[in-house]
Amino acid sequence: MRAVGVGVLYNRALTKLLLARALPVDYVEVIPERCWTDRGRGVRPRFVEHPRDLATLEALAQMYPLVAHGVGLSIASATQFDIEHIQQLGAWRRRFGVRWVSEHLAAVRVTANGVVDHHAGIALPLPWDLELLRLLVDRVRRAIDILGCPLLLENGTVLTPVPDTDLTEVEFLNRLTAESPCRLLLDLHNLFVNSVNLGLDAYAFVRDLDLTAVEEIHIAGGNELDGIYLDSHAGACPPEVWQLLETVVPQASNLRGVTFEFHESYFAELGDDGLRRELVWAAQVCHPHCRETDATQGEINVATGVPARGR
Amino acid sequence: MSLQEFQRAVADFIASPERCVRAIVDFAAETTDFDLTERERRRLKAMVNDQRMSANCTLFRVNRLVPIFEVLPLTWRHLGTAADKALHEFWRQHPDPVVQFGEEANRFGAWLEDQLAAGVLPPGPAFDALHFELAAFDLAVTAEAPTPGSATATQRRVVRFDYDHLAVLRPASTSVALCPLTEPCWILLELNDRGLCVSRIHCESVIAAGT
Repeated sequence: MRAVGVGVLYNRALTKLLLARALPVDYVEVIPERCWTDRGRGVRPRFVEHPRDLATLEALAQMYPLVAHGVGLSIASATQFDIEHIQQLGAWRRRFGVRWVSEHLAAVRVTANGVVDHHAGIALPLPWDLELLRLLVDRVRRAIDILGCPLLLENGTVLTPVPDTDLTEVEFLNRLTAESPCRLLLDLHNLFVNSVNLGLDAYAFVRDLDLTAVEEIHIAGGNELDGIYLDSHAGACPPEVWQLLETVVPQASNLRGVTFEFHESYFAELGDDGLRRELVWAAQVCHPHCRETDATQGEINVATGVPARGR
Repeated sequence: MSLQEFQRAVADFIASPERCVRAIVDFAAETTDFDLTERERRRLKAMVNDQRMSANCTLFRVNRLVPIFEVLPLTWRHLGTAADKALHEFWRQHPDPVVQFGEEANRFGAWLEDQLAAGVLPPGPAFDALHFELAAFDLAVTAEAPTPGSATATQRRVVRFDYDHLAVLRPASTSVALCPLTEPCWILLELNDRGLCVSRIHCESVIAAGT
């Protein structure tokens, strides 16, 4: 029987709960860039690691399978590809036995005024063009060679889509996964955000997407700012995200894990019980054979660990 | 190269709501310094005229504020009514966003110190809070992981306070009615296996604390 793990994106509010094995998770997802300071290209040493964060990760790695979720690669930037960043991710993956690495299909760095890595401040809207596709197919191959593990790219949110593109976003993702070893991290909350702000049909999106390329799913909550719904990781998932999860999971035949994300500033509002409830509900979707789980107890009987899956 | 120019143009507009407003009136004049194809110009024009572009500009500013506010919440509170003006002046002088929390907080802190030295900002409890919060953040990211036993030098910082440290560090405190101490006091931040511990130490202990 196919086993899909349920994980949580690590933040410092979770340290005690995870070290006490007080959460029903099969794996822990970590943001590598939170564990080092990047002093920039050309500076030596470029990556200065944070000893306390690494000590916590070493403890977590003894207890849980870890997966990495990068936030700083900017793989879709037309600026010079940051091989050093990939090498740092690869070294870090080997050190902690990370099962897979995911990143955002995003451009957050641009070349401006002679500065190669000028930060754009937000993820820029992407043109779903063949030019970008060719750029990414090449970069994904190079990245996987260095990482030595699967690379998953995550769909993002956008407020002002680039008009008149060669492909739709779904066509672009399908081409990317067909023409490169790239796999997908399907963020269902991002999809929901785009459906709210742009009127995008989330169900048409997942119907047209090659779901066999999806190996991880993100679920999260959000909130509004000035009439715009944001992917702010503001606590519990909205009902629409659970409905999307129930739709996608049975069709995503290579799915490895479903990860719940929340920002630590919302932990007081979410609470231990609220967090467990989100994780248990995710497990109930992923493990329909475990329907006898008593969600009110916050315990779950699931296959532990992330399954090694051949392709 | 074309995609690179397009991304640079989009980033520039997202960073400047004023430029977006000007471009709605005269798009050609605002895009002369970008080497764009005709297709890219049409795309950019449509995006700048999209009502949601203002939300992009807002998010850009929120993302710039977050590193400062998360690392320096007490400093921000003690700056009081000067905070908003200071932040905008800082952004005007440093238009490049830095999203690494420690780097941006240190950059803003150094800028505040310059403003103090130049007499633009008056001395006050905000600077005690600033020194304390930067030291605490530095400990959080650079100190060795604590183990049972006494802390090492990398796990200690000493901060001078010119105002009552208990009042300055109280989460809901403001600078109103806080008077300078007649003599400064010294506060030891120590990272041990119980977390971050804060205690007042005597002047002669400052040297012994290894700073």
